[in-house]
Amino acid sequence: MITRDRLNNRSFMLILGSVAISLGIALLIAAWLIDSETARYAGAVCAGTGAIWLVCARWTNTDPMRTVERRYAREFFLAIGAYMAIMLLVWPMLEYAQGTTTRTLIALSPILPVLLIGRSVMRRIRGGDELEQRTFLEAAAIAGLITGVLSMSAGFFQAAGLLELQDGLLLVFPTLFIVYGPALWWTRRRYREE
Amino acid sequence: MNNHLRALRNQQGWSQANLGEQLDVSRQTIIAIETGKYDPSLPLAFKIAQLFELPIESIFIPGR
Repeated sequence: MITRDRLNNRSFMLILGSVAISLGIALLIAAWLIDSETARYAGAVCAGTGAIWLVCARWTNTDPMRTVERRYAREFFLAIGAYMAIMLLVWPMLEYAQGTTTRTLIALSPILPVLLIGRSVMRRIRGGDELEQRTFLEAAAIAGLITGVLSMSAGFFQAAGLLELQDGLLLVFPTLFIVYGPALWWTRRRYREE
Repeated sequence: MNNHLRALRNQQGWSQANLGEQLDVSRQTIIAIETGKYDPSLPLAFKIAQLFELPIESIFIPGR
């Protein structure tokens, strides 16, 4: 068993990947049993993300996790868990909800965990050392730029009638996070030992 | 900027992780400073000098 003292970045990624894949499989089974499109989508995202984390663990260092990293992991994944719970349990209620106020509250309910994700990221950046803060900033700038270009390209494609993206705006924030990972890896590369 | 950080750290028998912990920075930051890929800020440079009880100019060498 991996104790708290021995928990390092690589073992954390391995645990995370395994949990995500298990959760993804459970959701896919649930989706098959209850015939839920949302559960099917969430299961596929979970299992896919878990597989990516397991692959990435191979290149992750084995340094023990620092306090700031443990706090970030705890806060970030609690917020992600809350987001998934809301999307699976609260969001489907929109189908039956009556009245503008109720529908607005349900529609905006996922924003609370999204704000918590933002808070955890800000606390991680502020808790980082000076080189980490520099790489975080560079990675965020690159991710913002790439996401902006992708969003604009998708917008132009849609305006030209070449692409039909339903709820396309929902993809912007997740894209920013997905691009941020490789961008951070790229910026850190410059400071690594040969 | 060049520096003698790796030699000083080895003299003390500290690992990069040990030194990072004492300076409250990550091991990657220690690696980047030792290899000259990153020049620390003035406060961090002073913290390093204080830790090794040496003047700052005997650890960091300008130029390169």
